Amino acid sequence: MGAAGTKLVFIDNPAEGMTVGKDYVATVTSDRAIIGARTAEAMAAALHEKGKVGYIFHDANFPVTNQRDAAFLWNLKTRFPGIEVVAKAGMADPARIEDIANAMLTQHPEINGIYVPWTEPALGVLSVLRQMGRQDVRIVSIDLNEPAALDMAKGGSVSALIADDAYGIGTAAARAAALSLLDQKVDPLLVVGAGIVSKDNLVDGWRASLHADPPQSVLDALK
Amino acid sequence: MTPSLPTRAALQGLIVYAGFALIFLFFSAMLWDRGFLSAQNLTNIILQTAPATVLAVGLVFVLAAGEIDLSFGAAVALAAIVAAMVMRTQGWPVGVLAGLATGMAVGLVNGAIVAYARLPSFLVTLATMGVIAGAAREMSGLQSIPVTAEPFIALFGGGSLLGIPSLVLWTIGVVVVGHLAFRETRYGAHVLAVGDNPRAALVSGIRVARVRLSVLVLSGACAGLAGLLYAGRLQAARYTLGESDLMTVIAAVIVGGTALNGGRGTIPGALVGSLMMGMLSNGLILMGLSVSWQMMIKGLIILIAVAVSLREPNR
Repeated sequence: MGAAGTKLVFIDNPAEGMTVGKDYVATVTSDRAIIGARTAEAMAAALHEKGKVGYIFHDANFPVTNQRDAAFLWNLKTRFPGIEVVAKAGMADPARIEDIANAMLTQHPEINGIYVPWTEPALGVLSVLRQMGRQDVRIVSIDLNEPAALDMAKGGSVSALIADDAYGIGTAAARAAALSLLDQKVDPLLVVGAGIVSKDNLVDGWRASLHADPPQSVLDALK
Repeated sequence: MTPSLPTRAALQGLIVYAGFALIFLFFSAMLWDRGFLSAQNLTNIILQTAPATVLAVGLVFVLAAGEIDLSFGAAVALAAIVAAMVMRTQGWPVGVLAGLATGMAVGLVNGAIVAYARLPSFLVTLATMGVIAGAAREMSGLQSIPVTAEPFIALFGGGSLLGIPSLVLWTIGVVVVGHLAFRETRYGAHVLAVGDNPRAALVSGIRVARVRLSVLVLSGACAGLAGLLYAGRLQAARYTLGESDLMTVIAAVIVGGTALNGGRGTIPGALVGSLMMGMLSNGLILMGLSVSWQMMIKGLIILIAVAVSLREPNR
């Protein structure tokens, strides 16, 4: 493909067996180590650096989530000794998340914070917390979505969502492709940052990540 | 029909209860100190299986009539999304109607093609599954749509009446109504007759095409209701809802004692089959097994259960 003059830029993961500089120009991704660190910091803030955490990880071979999950755990353990991870559970199918969260909270009622690898399953954890009436448990997860942001805006169980610079990924990919077409040298790995979005900076955080305003329901809930 | 069939059906009906009891006892012994037997956990199993049980009731009618519906999982997502989107502007009662109507419309299209164009339901619903799933993705833009109407959430999600969670009430209601319609009405008898021998049913004056149409509409209606239950429980609708229910529900219904090729069905069996599937997921997670092991063990147990319940005598 590279030989045919088509410029290829990957987002998140390059295809296996392809060589950078020959088959493709660059990989653009969010910084997984930073995301893990921010997520751990958000959890520590939510629990005031003291508590028991349930850790739900993505049980599949997918570098983006695997590295984020690992970075969260490592940051939490090394930087926040007051927080203990008391339960770990793998998740392959987000549709099964409620079963996992139910089991975790049944066996470890002392949990007061849960890490969920991304927001779609976080909604399932939220549903379980509501069913159990566990308003004391905080959720920290990754990526923005409307129902999770809405819960956060209303002061619910979701304490923070970590959002990468999604818009920046697109910009960097476009720039890399353009530079490559002009025969300029392009860095083979382009990494964008991420930040903590909580109730206090929801509007700004949403804009920073997606270059768009939060959905109307979220704006209404913040009023 | 041979005269001995009722007793055999009764025996076959008992298998699912035995399997359920066996799995229950196994998990009780293994996990007695790890929360399996807590009232909260057992309630959770019923709450988690509520949408699947509703879907299973619809599927019993479809299978008993000798047809299959592969599109109900996708219809769940579409119904939930339509309900959530309509609710935003038109209020929750209109949203509920829109969700149910969406499920029934899917069933009507499936049913019309199957009943009047005489195409096999397996292929028709396989194709419409793709169309519906695509529509759900397109309509929602792959985003989760929040559901905020409190009365709706109470009615279809987290509410309760006299201390009984609304999801449990829906499950009981649908199972009881479904069971009575299936066993005590002429319609139920017609469904079984069409599934057992369509030609004989036609000769005896049963409107076979209409029965085929109706079972698929019924399955669509159940998918609509299941979509509302998901939307109420999660307080959100998403295109992935119902996706993983297809295999679970088919397995639950078959394990429960409904014949894959028509003419025999049981709704209490489907209920127990559905609870058994939920209990299996719950128990394997409580045991702390990895996802891979959960999948293998669950698959094997389903295989054994299906093998036992499908060993039909001289059909």
